[in-house]
Amino acid sequence: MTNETSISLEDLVKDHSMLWRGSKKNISSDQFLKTGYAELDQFLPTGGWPSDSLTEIIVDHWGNGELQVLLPLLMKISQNAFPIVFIAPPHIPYAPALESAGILLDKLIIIDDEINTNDLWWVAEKTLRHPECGAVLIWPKNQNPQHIRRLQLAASTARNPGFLFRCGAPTQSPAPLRLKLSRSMDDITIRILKSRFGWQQNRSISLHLP
Amino acid sequence: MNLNLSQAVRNNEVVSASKPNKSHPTARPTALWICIYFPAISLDAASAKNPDLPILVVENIKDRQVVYTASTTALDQGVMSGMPLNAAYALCHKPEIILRSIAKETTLLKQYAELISHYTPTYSLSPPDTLLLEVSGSVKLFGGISAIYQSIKNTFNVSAVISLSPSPSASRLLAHTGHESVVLHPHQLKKSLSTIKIAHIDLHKKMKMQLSKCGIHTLGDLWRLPRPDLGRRFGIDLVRMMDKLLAAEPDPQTATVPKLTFSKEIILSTHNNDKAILCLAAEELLTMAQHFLKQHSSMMEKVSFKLRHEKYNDHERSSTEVLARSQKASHDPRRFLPQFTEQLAQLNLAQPVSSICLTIDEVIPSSRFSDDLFNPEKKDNQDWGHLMDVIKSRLGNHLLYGIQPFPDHRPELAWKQRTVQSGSTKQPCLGKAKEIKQVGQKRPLWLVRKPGKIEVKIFQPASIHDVERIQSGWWDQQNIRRDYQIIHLDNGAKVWAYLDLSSRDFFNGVRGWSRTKNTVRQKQSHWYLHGLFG
Repeated sequence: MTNETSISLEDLVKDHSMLWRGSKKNISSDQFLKTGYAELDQFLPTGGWPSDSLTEIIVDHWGNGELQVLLPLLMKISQNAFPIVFIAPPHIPYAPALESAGILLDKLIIIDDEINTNDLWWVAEKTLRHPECGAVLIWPKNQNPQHIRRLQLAASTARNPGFLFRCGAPTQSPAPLRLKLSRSMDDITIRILKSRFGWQQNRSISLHLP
Repeated sequence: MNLNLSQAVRNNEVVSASKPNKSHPTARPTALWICIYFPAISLDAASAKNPDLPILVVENIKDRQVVYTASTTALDQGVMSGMPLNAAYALCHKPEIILRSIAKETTLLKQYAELISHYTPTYSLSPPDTLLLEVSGSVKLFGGISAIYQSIKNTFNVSAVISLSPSPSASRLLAHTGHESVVLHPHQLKKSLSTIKIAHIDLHKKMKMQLSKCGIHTLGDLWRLPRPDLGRRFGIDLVRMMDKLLAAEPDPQTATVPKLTFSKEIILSTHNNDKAILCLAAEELLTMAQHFLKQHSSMMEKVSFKLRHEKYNDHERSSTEVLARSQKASHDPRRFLPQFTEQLAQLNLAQPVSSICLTIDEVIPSSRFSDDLFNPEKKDNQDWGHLMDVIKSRLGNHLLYGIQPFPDHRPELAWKQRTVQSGSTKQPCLGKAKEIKQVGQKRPLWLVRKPGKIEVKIFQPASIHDVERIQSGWWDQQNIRRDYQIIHLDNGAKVWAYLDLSSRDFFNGVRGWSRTKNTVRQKQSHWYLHGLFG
């Protein structure tokens, strides 16, 4: 009898989307995108990359696997014929490598990093807000919480995933999911700095990506 | 010559003027140009302190101050325009001298134009003192030409001379010569204009002199003469001018398209920082803005409020700005009130607010957006290509591009930029890079634009998969000989670096090493960073 009551309570709570529940994952399947790495899916509080919000990826130096962890996702998005926008990437996204990762390059749009800061946020918001957009990857030179909040709003309105890359020490940011990446040889360690989707702070996982 | 307006209307000429003639189906409806001439605009713009005193508006001509215009009091005392200032001093007592400002006059003219801009979308400013409106399209809407004419007249009272005719230059000429005429048909123009003196017409001085020498003093005199001979004698320009006056030749005018902005200020009677009162004032301003947008059938995306503070002790002025914006343009500024209230609640107003000002900088015409009739859900979804166009137009073409691989062994040439097409994204590829790719070669996701020297402290023994020699390009002056290797740097980054085999530096390094193995001055060959495994 008591068992039956507890199950129905569990069911009741599960249906309440407004209720925030510590570490339990009560996220529906359309709110995340598979990362392409089974361990990472298991590890991330959302069960994959959040599909309708901004994810901030922080590294100490470029070249710590920040793009590599996204490759399977980008491949899938481009093969589903959705455009991917790279805004102000710090170096040249190298076409042969991206192509061999399976990304359809005619779906890839690059906005050069000579763009000025105002235009950068403008483009980011416009593209992220567009219903036909696949994913937006942004490498801003500097950022403030207001910009990120706007982008988050755009991402959640249009249900598009946005990725914000940051090189250097993490500062305050309103992005719902913040990850810190570091690499030692071919092992990439992903640590959760902040997660709105569940109580996951400071957990980390190591992925072997040769 | 001055046609009685009511008589003209009674004869139903207005209706025929606004409709195409049925006997000539191709005939255009006659244009109707209203010219509003403000003879005293420079006096009005000068804004004298005491209008009862004699006022002289002067301008500088060749280092001499000359009276441009004067108030009636001054004119009564014998001052005339064009008179040197010294002479005017001799005639009137204690005049107020104001230097003429064309900028001020133009601003005033623009303000006048705003008063009549709702009558027609096609009006033009001809500074410094004249407005031209084409109203044939608005006759029906405003209940006849007499209603338009009368309400314009009421707007400006006595300060303006208003005349109406089918030709813009004739209207201007009539108004400038002080004729408040209404001419509805081109064939009546000759009669109305015939007594106007040649001296008033905008012609070259030399030609006016020639005409006067021939005994031609009025326009009527001109029209009596045979047209071909006039053209032969005085040039085609004179004939063309006459045709324009009679609306026989097109006389296009530059239409003024005003940049719409809205700015209103409410001065608060008591200086306070009661937020409830500020919200009430903001609501009032937003209601005014709504009327303004309705009048101009436009929309806006953002509004900005300025709260001005006044400090009594040191007269220091400062202001706080509150911005409210929405992603979608809207007709209703009142929807910004909640945003304003929210932002105001967060503000810490240290000083009392003396006035609140609302500004809308960017007013968007409504016609820019059209909704889908059958699928109202889809109205926000402009297609991706359109967005690319918008981005391109803001950033310029060079900042937005795509990439594609290019079959070349040299890493920096193995990719190419391509333009992003706004239409279909399908593009012919330059070639398959795979064709020359060999198994086991890993390329970095980032390519550094200019390879730079890096310090590699620990030299790791490399596996056979991580090293590669690229030697290519002897045919186009960009010959490279490099030994590439994947290196893990101390900071965790996995990079793709090379030793430049073709540079002197390298050989010196290798040779120097072998020769002077034990000396301190040992040269090292440098690693160049060319890619990052991001």
